[in-house]
Amino acid sequence: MAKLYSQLKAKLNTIQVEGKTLYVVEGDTLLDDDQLKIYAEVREKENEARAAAKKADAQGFGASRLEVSHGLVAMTRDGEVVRWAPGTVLTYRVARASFPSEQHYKLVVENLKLATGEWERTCGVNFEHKAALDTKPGTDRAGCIFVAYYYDVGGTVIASSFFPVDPPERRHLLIDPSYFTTSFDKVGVLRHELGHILGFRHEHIRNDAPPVCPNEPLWDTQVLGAYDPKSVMHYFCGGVGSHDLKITDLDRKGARMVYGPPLGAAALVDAV
Amino acid sequence: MDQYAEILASFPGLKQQLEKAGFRSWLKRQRCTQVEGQSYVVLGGDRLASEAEAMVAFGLERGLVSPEDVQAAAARQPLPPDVAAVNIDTPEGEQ
Repeated sequence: MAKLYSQLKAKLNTIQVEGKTLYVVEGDTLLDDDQLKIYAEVREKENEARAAAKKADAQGFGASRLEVSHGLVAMTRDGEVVRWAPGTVLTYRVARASFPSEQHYKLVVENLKLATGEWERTCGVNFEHKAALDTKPGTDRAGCIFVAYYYDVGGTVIASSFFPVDPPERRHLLIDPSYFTTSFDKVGVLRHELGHILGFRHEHIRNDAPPVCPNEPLWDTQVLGAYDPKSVMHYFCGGVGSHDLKITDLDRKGARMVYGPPLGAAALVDAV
Repeated sequence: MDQYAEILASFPGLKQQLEKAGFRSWLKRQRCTQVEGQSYVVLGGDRLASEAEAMVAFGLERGLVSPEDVQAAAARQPLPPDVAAVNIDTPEGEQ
């Protein structure tokens, strides 16, 4: 433990908060010295476990090839999974005037197009960009389900969205200036935020996730399958997760439990 | 009003209990931000939570309110009209 702890202590950026030195790990987590020791210990144990699993795999005894059917953590209300009502078109606009330049605006428009398209190919959801409403002044939804806009939240988040149960006035997708400089995949960040909009919670809040990953209350959740450390909804924490935030096969299967198959696919089956 | 404000309101005395348990000093240690004049607490990395939501999270974390009670209080709140709740059976052994 002492080795990784010393390495991290020497390598990590630090900030001072109320006279206390905090270490910045995994981009946005602040740990004090004691927490860093625990973090280092957990990471070393995880590394050992992964090395052992790899060795077992190589000898044909591995567990990493075990099949699991689907993933994701859904939000619930009274024991039932919350989703957009069938037939709801998830319309959105991107408030042009909020962005500092045309280039910033176009990047978000393009990345949202890619991210929404990927969710549409994943499960039965339908997004529609109401581009004609983008030039409308202000940041109100203008009749859309949600509005995406640039808002400087001081880097406290890269982007932030909402859940279906949030009141309609909370239906905004905020893009912080740090979005444009983040090392995370920018389309991936939006895939993740759109996952929340569809009602999916963070994958790393499950008990199977590394303990250093942020906790959240679980009272309104239902797991849809096995823990997926590579899920689009998993943070990069505890040595798992990824900067790409891609929709995995387990995500796809979990999302289809809630929203069914992609609408295009259903139409094709109907046509046949 | 968000569902968390309604949830809090359904537990008489809970707010005072949370304040007594140090909610304000806990809140000071959280990342907070303002959006369009509204104050939010950053929970779980990218969730901008209202103060009421943060209070519920704090209460759950400290065991001052049970997940079951919060669930029951939330169940009494109506969903937005374009949102539905569906029963999905999770196959056994995959929880």
